[in-house]
Amino acid sequence: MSEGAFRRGWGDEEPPLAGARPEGAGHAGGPAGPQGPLGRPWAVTGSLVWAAAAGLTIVALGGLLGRPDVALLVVGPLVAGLWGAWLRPRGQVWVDLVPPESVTVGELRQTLRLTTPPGTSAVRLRLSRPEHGSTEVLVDVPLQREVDAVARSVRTGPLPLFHVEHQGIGAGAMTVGPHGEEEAETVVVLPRGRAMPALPMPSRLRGLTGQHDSRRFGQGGALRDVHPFQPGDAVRQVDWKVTARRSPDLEQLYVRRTFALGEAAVVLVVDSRDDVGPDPATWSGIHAIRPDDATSLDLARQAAMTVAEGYLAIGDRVAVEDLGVRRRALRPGTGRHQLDRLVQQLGLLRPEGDPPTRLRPPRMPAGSLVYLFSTFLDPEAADMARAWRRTGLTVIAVDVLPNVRTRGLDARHWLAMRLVRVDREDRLAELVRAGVEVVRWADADDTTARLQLAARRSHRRPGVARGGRR
Amino acid sequence: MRLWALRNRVRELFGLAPVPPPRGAAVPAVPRVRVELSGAVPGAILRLVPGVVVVVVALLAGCSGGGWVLAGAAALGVVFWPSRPVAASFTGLAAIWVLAGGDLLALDPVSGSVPGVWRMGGLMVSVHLLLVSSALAGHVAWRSFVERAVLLRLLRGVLATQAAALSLLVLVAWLRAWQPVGMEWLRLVAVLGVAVAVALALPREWLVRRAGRGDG
Repeated sequence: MSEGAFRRGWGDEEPPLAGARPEGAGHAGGPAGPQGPLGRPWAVTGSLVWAAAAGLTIVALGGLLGRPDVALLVVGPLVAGLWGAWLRPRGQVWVDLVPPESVTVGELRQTLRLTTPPGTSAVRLRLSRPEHGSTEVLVDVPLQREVDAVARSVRTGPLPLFHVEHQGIGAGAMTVGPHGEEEAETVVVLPRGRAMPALPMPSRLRGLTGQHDSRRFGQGGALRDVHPFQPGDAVRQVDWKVTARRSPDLEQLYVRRTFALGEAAVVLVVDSRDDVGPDPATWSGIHAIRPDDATSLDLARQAAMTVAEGYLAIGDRVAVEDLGVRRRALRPGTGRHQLDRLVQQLGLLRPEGDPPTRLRPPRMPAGSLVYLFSTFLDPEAADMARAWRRTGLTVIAVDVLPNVRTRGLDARHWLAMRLVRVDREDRLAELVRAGVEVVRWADADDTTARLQLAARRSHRRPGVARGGRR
Repeated sequence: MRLWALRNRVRELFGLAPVPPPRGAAVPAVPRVRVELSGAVPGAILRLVPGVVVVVVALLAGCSGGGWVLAGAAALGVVFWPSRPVAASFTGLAAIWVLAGGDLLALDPVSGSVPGVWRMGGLMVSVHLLLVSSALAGHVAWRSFVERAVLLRLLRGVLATQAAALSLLVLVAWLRAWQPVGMEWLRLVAVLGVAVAVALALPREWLVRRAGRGDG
């Protein structure tokens, strides 16, 4: 919608009389006019001027012709109109956008606090969002009132709330106040993960602490074996029952050896370079994506959040890499604070400009498990996944392209879509051939099943004794 | 969907590019921003109200013959262009019809009453409603919503004014019934009243020449 079309109907469709409109109209929050602290009186609309002109003419005509019926015809509107013009409200309507305390996925809500000068009949509000379009309402405001605006949206990340235009309407809808605007505030809608029963483990555990039993000897893990006492073994490790049974004369002591504990290192690589919706016609960026359509970045945020919650809940270390913007990397960490940092990090992901081509893939910690969240619409992410796989890392490619909607595509769009789809399927097939596990996040059941299968396989690997203690 | 697949298979045999699917899953309308109001009336209804009131005014004003064409045009005009001076112009037209149709407040010499008083009352209320509803419609888009309290507030204003106006009507009818002749002095009172009302009600800045105005 063009700016001119958008503004049509806000004061300019009813041009007020010259000199009657307050100066500074169209800018809320301006100083009071020169006619005192209350500001200038509201503008008289063309409806009132024409009604008053017609009324005065008819009354005069009726009076001169001795026809009280003609004169009485317009006495009511004439008196009401002139009275309304005489007692016009002064000042402006104030609209305060109350910042929301929390924003949840699925609903954007904001409270508007309206304050009007005495004599206001209604306040005309136009609320708009880029994805929702605009909505106009006339609300009754007895001096002060709070109104809630709601918009359904499944989007996450930085989102603008409501752009508000407002104008007061005086008595009989025949006077109008100055037009004001309030810019939309931006909120960050944090992603929410979904339930995932099992997650795979990396090929190697790190460190000597954690929640997983590693294959190395050490402290804290489950029983590995019983072994003759050696120099360096602690006396408290001696298993006296076994020693008594195997060596009644105490010629040899036996100790219980346990597995060491370890933690998994997981790196979430999010490809924030593109953010596409289910409708290919919007991929050019010209048309807005529907607010009830989750984009690829929304799915990536949700997927990364799900995976991060799963690993951080069992004490593993999780890091974040962004393929689009390098400064957005989050160092590996564990615990609740890391989850909070990670949620914020994921919430702020968005495409920024033209990302530079990476000559080398980001370096990953040895033995880490790499999750790559991408649409795979271009080969860069797939190339990196193969490179990581070649270095021996376990890589899981999470395809976050939404289910594409082909309804309404014309022949050219359809042909382009088919070409893109063929390229993408080839790319994903090459990833599978390279040993990368590929899961499609838009298909929830399939994703769960594949990750569960990968979890079972990873727990059988020699690097990991068994799954985490959940 | 099967027919579409078959069609594409045939096109493939002839080396032609496939055609897009005719239909996919139904896509609902884009959700809109919703303002939580306590009872809202769709703007489309309010945009239609002045058109209906135009017809009522024409009916009460004694419109006939070709006048209905003008009334129809006014009804359409006030519905689609409520901000234009259609309602005020139609009020003038209605006044001409009333003027041409004979005195509505004429005394019935047989019964000694004013039989047209009810029609006149209806006409006064209708004209007021027409002007207010068209002014309101000028602020209402077809897809907007208006809170019920706004309508009640406007209606209260109309009723309060009409209570005074209808009292005046009853007074005039009573005067007609009491003294049907010799009321020429009332014309002077009416004209003077209008002049005083104009002098009192018009905003002062309309009448005062502004310094510096017209410099540019």
